[in-house]
Amino acid sequence: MTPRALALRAGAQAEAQALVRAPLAVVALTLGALLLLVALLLFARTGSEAPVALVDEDHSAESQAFTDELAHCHHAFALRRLERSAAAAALAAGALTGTITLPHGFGATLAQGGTAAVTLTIDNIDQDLSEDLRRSLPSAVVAFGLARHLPGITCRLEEHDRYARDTDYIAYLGISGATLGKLLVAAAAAALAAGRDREDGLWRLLTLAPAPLGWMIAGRVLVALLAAAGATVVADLTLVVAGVHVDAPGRWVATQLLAGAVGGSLGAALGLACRHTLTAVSAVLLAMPALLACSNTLEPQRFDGPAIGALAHLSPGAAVVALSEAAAHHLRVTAEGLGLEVLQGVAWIALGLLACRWALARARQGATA
Amino acid sequence: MNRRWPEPARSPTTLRRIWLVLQVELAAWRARPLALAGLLLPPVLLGIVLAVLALNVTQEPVALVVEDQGAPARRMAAILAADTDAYTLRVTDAAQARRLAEAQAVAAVITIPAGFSAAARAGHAVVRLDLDNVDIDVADDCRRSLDRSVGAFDGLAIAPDTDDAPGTTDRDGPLASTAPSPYGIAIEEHDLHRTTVGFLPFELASVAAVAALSLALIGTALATAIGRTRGTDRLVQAAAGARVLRSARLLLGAGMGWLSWCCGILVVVLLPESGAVATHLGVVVLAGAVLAVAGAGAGVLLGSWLRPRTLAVVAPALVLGLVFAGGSVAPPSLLPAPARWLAFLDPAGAAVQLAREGLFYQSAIALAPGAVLGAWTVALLGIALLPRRS
Repeated sequence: MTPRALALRAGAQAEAQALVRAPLAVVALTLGALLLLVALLLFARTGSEAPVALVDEDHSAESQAFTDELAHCHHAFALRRLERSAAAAALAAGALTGTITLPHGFGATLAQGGTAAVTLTIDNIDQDLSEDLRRSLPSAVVAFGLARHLPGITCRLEEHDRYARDTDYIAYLGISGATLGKLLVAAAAAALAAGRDREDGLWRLLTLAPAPLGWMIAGRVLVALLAAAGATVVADLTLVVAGVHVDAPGRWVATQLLAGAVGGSLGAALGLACRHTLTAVSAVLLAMPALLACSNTLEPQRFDGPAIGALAHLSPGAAVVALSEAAAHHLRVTAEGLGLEVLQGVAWIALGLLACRWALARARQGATA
Repeated sequence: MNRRWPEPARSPTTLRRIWLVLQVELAAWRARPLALAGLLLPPVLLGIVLAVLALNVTQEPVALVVEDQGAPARRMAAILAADTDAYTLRVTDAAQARRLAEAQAVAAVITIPAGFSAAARAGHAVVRLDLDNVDIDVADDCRRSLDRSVGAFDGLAIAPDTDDAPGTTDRDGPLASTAPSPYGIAIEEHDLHRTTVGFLPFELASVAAVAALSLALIGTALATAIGRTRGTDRLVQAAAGARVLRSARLLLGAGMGWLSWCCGILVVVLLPESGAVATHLGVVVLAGAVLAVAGAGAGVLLGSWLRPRTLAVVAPALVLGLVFAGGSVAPPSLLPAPARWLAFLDPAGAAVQLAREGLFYQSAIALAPGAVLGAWTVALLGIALLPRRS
């Protein structure tokens, strides 16, 4: 076996032993990936299907037809039929976002060609949720009027969608959250593995060893990345439980491996550059919100304006999230082609490896000084 | 030689001993400023993440192409331009709009086509929407907003809330004075509250909870675990007693947690357009104190069982998990039923709910969250102060 292979194996064995002795690191990585994913899945629930009570005091064919329009209105409402008093109590208790009341005589008024009033009571404390309701009810009214071919309507909307079917927001955020989680967990794991020996004061000794130090550290990092991959399986299982499925599993797995490789190379560079592993891991944690803001995680970044759209090109997460959304849902979340995204991912790996080399050379100088 | 030995000092009172141990603990924290700063990492992270999520809750970028110059077309364009809550509108020509859509600089292209005005007079005008439905959240927002705008073109009647006393319930029967609407339906809006709160201030109450628990729970747990594993606790216990040591730690942890809660609440109140009315500020402050005491009690227990390295991993995850489960990112009303129960029983969730009700609502505070929080605090404090075999 060559010295490099020996060094690689030695590093891998050392890291495996360290992880087995103290599996806490794996637990921490698992929890980290899970928390990020859970936060995003919770956020996904705020965008649609607001819990709204329907108080139908008319019970006519027209009120039923309007209720059907409400139920189909652009994922706006999670309707619950309640009596007026129960609806008011639930709204006051914070169990609902609003109530919609169809009063007695609703159907008769419509049948006579008149205008019936519908009352929308909103828990308007949360501006985001209340604005969604304010837009959604008129949308249902417009659909109701068009379905009845009412004579006074002179304008309608003709919609042409880019994609034949909508991708559920939980599915979208789940895939991007899981991918970003893998990148961050890989970065944290690699930072811990790469910086461990230096923090334990072993580098002076290891620089004297005949085996190449870089390959030893590479062995450590590889095992750490394997552990990180295992840790993020829990997050992937969470996606399965949440009902998220992937259209092209093979391609999706490849994108997840790319995310791990990008995170691993950058994290290893960070671990080698920082004196303490805690500093390196804290830097990874602090990078998380920045990555969330400009990696196409929440929506295609260009929708947020040219500045953030341009900033996304500097984000290691943007390319891998774009590739994973394409693999999972055949969605195009960037204007660039997929080939360019793959190149970007590879470029980040190369940059990370170069940074590792530089950091290792610097650290070796410091250890032998 | 007649040497007089000094009179033995009187044994200090319990309070005095607690005060002395408190000073020792404070000195230990002052010697570890980085560790103290590290405790602030979870709330800072959550605050930044929420700020990022708040950026997502904004208008959608849309291009408008107007190919007709008649009065109805101009009226339609004006309706679209006036809805600044929904759209960031860019008026352009068709070719540029296609380029913007291809570059994903806009989520949708709205076209008022040539012949729109004549078609509107004849009763069959069409507004075309070319939608990039890559993101359903953005797409549905566009659809709902456009439906509302198209409805407004034909006079869809929406009466916003003008009541002096918000929260009035629905009327009996249809409105006598309902203006005719070609859609057959007029919408009457009632707002439950006088104030409306933006996404970020609404969510920042949970950051205050994370800050309080970080310092109270994690800080106390780490101090307890480090003292136990290094053996310094034995020395202090020998001098002052185990219960005094635990009481001092509880006081310090609860104090730090409560202080950070108050700072977080202050940030919420001072945020521009936060909508905070602070009707029940006393309840908010008290909720923070109770949560901090509960956190410190839990910290003493965790620190008695777990090692510092384990705590450094488990405790932040526990704090963030408690706050997420309590309905911080998504209100409990949006969660499935089992998660709603979890949120109800969650002490962090109870504290966040009390903070939101005290800061933003003008109605009476609900009793249930206070009861949940109080029960947890009494239980944790009681267990933390139980005598133990040393």
